[in-house]
Amino acid sequence: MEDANIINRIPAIEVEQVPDIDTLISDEIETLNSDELYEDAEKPGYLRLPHGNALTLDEIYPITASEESKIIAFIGPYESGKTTIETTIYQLFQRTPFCGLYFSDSATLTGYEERSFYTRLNSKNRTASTLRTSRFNERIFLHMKLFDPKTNSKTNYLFADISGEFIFSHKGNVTTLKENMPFLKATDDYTFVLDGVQLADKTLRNGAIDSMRNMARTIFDAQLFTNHTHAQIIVSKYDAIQASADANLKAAVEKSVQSLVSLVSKYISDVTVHNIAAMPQNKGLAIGYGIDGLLKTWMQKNCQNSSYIPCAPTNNLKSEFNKLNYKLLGGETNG
Amino acid sequence: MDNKCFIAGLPNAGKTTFLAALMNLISADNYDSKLKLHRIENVQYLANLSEKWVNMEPLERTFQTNEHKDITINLELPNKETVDLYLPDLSGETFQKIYAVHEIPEELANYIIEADTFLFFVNVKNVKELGLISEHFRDQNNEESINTKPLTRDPKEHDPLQIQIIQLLRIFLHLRKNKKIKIGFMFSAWDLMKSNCSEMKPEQFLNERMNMLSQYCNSNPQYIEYYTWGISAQGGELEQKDSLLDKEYPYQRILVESNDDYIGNDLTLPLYLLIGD
Repeated sequence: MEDANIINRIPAIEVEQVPDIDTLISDEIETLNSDELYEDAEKPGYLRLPHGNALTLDEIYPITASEESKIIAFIGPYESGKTTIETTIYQLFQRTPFCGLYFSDSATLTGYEERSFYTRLNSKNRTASTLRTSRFNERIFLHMKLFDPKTNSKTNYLFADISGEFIFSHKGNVTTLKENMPFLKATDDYTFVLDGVQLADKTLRNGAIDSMRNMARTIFDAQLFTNHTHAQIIVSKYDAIQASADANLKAAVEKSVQSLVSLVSKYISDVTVHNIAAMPQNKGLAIGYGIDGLLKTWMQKNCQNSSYIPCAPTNNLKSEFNKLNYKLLGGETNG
Repeated sequence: MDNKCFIAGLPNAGKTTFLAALMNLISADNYDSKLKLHRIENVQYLANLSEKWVNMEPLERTFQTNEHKDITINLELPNKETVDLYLPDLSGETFQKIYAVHEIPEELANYIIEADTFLFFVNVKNVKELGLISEHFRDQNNEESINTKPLTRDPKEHDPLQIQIIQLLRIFLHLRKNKKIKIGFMFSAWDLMKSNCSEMKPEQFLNERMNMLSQYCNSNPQYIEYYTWGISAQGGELEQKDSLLDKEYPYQRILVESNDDYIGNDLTLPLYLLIGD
C-alpha cells in the first residue's frame, strides 16, 4: 500500500511546485523526463548516446516494426499502482529469471531506474513509492525484451506508463480520447488497474468501479481496440484486501470487479482478472505477488496489434512499405 | 599481430592494480606466465606502477586528468609469436560519466569500436544486494529512525552496479553497430570473496550476485562472448601488508581463479585466453 504521506517526503518534481496554470501547461517546464535533458546540443569531440529513458511513440516504432513486440497499456487512476507493477517486474528480473523468461535487453534502463529508486532502501525512503507519471510527458513507454528459452524466441514488451490524470481527463469524451491517444488502437493488451485500497473501502469502492467502467467504455466506444486486443483487470495493492479483518470483503470486491469484467467482455473476448501486490507491506505476501500470472497471460497471447502502430511520419518511415502502411492506417505523409 | 584490449570498469574496480601486477609478472624471470614481455618500448608508466605494487605502496587513483590512453606492451605468446597489446588505463569516473550523462568522447568511442577484446573489472566489494523497502521493513520489523530525508537519485551512486554494466555493454554494442564483444569479467578483490565463500566460483558469483547481467549475457550469445575470472592482483588489503610482503616473490600475492580447476598466480591467463594463439 502506498502511503499518501510519503509524497510529502519525496522531492517534488518541478511541475508539481508551480502554482500558476499558465506556467504549468507551458512546454518549458522541466518535468521528470524533460526532453531538454537528452536533446541538448552535441558537444564538440563528444558523441551523444541513447538516453536510456522511457521512449516516445516515435522511438518505439523501430522496435515494433522490426521485432516481435507487444504493447501493454496500463489504464488506472493516479496512484493506483501502475508504475509500481511495471517497476516490480523489472526489479524481479534483477534477482532471477522470472516465469521461465530471461532479461535480454531494455532500451529504457534509465527510465526504470528513475521510477524504481524510491522503492529501494538506498533512497532513504521509508515506504516504497514510485514517482508520479507526469501528464505532460510524452516519454511513456518502458521497454523490456525477454527471452524464452523454451521457444528460443524473444519478445519486446512495451509498457505504456500513461498518466492516470491524463487519460482519465478524457473519460466520457470519445472525441478527445481519439484525438489525443490514437496509438491506443495498437495496444495488444489493456491492463486496467483498480486500486485495491479503494476497493477495500466501501465508501470508495463503487466510485472506483464506476470510474473505471466509464473509462473502459470511453476507450471501447472510441474503437481503440481490435479483434486481437486482450484485457486484464488488476486489483492492485491486494495486500490491503488480504489483510482486512472483514470476512466479507473479498466476496464484495469480487462481485464489484465482476461488473467491470462484464462490461469489458462485451468488447473484448479475452478478459482475465489478477490480484496483485507488487510491493506488499505485510509478511503474508511475497514481493511481486500475482505478477507471474499476469506475465504468463501476456506471454500466451499473440502479438497482433503493435505492428500496426500509427507512427508519425518522421525519418523513421524510410521505406515505401512503411509509408504505405502508415497511410493505410489513416495517417498522412509528405512523400 | 596486434590486439586492442579495452579495459573497462567503474571506480575502484582494480584496473590499475591489475596493470601494475601484470607488468611485474610478465617481466619476472622466475615465473612462467602464459604471456611474457617481449620487448620494452614505452612502458614507463607501467614500470612505475609495478615498482609501487611490489612494495605494496598505494597506487595513485586514476582520474580523468591522469588517464593513460596509449599503453602498449609487446608480448610473447607461448608459440613465440609476438603481439602488441593496447591497454588504455582509463578512470572509473570516465565510465560513470558515460552512464550518467549519455555522451562519450569520440576518442574513447573509437577505442571501443576498434577493440578486439574487453576486460571489465568489477570489485566484488561494490556488488550490493537489491534492497527493497517493502521487504526490509516488514520482514525485520525494523523500526530504525527515519529522520533522514529521502535522497535525490544520483545514477552513478544509486543505480545497481549490474544495471550500470549492462547499460555500458549496450553502449559498446551501439557504438560497434552490434559487432560481437569478446569480454572477460574480472571479479577483483577475489581473495575477500574466497575468505567468506571458499567454494564460490566466478561464474557462480555472476549468477548469484549479478543475475540480470548473467541473463543479459546468456540471452545474447550472438553479441556477447563472455568469460569470468576471480582475481586479486594485490593479494589482500593494504592493512595485511606485512604478511603479504613476507612472500618470497611478489607474484605469489596474486590470486587468479577460473571456472575450471585453475587457481594460481598467472594474471596473464585471462588475457591469453581472450587473445588466443
